[in-house]
Amino acid sequence: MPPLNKDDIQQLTAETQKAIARTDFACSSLTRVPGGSASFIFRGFLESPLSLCEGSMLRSVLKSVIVKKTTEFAAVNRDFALDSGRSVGIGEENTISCVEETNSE
Amino acid sequence: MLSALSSVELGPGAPVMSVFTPLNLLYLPSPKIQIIEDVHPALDYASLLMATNTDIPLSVWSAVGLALGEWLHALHHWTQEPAQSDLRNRMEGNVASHDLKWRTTYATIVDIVTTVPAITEDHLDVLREVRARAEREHEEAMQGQVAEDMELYGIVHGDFWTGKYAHPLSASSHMAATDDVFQASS
Repeated sequence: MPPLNKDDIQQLTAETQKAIARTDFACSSLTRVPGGSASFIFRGFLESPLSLCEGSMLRSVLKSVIVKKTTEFAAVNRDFALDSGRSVGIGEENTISCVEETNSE
Repeated sequence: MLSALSSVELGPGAPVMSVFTPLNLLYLPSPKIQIIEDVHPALDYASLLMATNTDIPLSVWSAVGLALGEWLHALHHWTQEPAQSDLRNRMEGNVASHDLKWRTTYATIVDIVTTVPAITEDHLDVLREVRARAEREHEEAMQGQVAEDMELYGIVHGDFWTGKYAHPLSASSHMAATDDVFQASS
């Protein structure tokens, strides 16, 4: 039941970081978070903090986000094939909040 | 699901434990990356349980497990309410997740359990029956032959088993605690 080796993990991390680089959630670094046997879970530190709003109310100031990368195999076992389409529909249920840049450091 | 949960108020009889749902911030379909709110100062449960320098009494772990199980039980009830029919329909259309659930929950169960010495042939017969029925239902669901009044797949995936991180309690209290959690989540 082999997981990815260190080089493969590094490559996947770099690809994931690059894929979100042009979004509001561009991250200066990604670190693996424990848990998640199917998908790869990272904590990413945002290049710029964001204010997270609900309506006109400030919900929180985000300095980091959780980044979930879905692959065609299980995170804990590269020989266990998975349908990466299993997360279909997630995009439809975006989002009750607005996100804007904040001046805070 | 995260959006649906963000406004959930579990009804009368719900556990007192408060559960905070992080926001789904962005989904990129092509690289299949989801970005979710990071909730500070939350720590994942497994890391907390596995930490060696904790001095939290064992009774707290049982209480947390039971509270989580109660919350999950209440969540199961909530997903079956009429108001959630649209959500159910959307989730039930996720064939890939059905298939994954079948493979990880039922398809392998007999082979895995066979290696446990305490399991008898009688136990295995029951599990084989469960597996055969699940396989039949899974195939019918994959072919769209499910009767309308038949609820094969709930919203909750069911991968909510904290027993593998259980502390070495005394045998009886361990069994009582994990059994309750399992019943609440099954």
